[in-house]
Amino acid sequence: MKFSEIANRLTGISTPLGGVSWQATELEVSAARRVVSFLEDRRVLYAPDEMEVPSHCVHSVMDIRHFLTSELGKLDAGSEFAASLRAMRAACRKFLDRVGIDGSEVALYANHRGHWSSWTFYGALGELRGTFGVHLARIAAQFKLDIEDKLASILPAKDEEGPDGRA
Amino acid sequence: MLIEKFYPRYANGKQMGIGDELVVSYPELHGIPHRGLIYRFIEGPLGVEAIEIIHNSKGDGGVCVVSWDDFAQGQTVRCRRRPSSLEHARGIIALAESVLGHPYDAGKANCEHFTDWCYNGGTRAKSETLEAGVVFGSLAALGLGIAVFARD
Repeated sequence: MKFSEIANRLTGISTPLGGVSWQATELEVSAARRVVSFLEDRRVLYAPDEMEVPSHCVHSVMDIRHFLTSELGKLDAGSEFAASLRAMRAACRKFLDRVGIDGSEVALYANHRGHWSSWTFYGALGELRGTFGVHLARIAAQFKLDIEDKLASILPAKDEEGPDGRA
Repeated sequence: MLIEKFYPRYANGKQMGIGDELVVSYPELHGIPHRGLIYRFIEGPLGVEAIEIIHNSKGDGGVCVVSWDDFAQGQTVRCRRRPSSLEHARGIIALAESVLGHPYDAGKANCEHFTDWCYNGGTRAKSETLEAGVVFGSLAALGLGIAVFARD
């Protein structure tokens, strides 16, 4: 998905879209590219198949959290970009808090059809993807980056309604 | 003239609240308790006119909302526990709504799993009845084994 289309989806979400007062540093641009590229390869964020192996999802989320921490260490802590990375990292923590790590009842039984663990797991996964979608859209629009279609599936939906509320 | 509005209360006089965990025993379940949560009060000009319960029911096919009468089925309904705060109550109901329509499973997702999961912030759940059944079954099997061993 092209960044111009992503920017159209950011109705009501504040982001510095390359205005006069804001100029991305080379450091931030390359970090943003790395983040998008890394997340494009994280199936836990978009693939229905991955949902069948909860323990893989847990490991993948742990990897994402470590990656975001390492990227944050290279950035200006006060930037909008860093705030998005922190928000995504917090979403990872929340997911792990709810689901637990290997051996937790949720991770063990989430893919057992009809088990209560699936309520926890899929609810937490949906929340994680929703949070990442919003912040990825902000990052892509901010740095004019395209996102692969699979990962783009978690971006916020386009507002099809006109200003008068009609579709 | 000031008309005092009606708000439902339990037998002990305490006012009912959203998120209260209710327990009822149906004769056909032979003492196994059924649980649900107060989902919503439907208010009219004179106060609460109806109470809706959200529960996970085998008979209703899973997590659904029913009327008080459908939940009680003429039996005495007791309050088992109450949310610790208004925020907790909102969280309980939000979690309960998030699994509306999910199917019932006696061993993996029954009425007790459902209410316990909602009360625990959607992180864990247990079924006391199921656990008691497992303990009872194990003790019965052990007793049977000892009896057979002693007879031999």
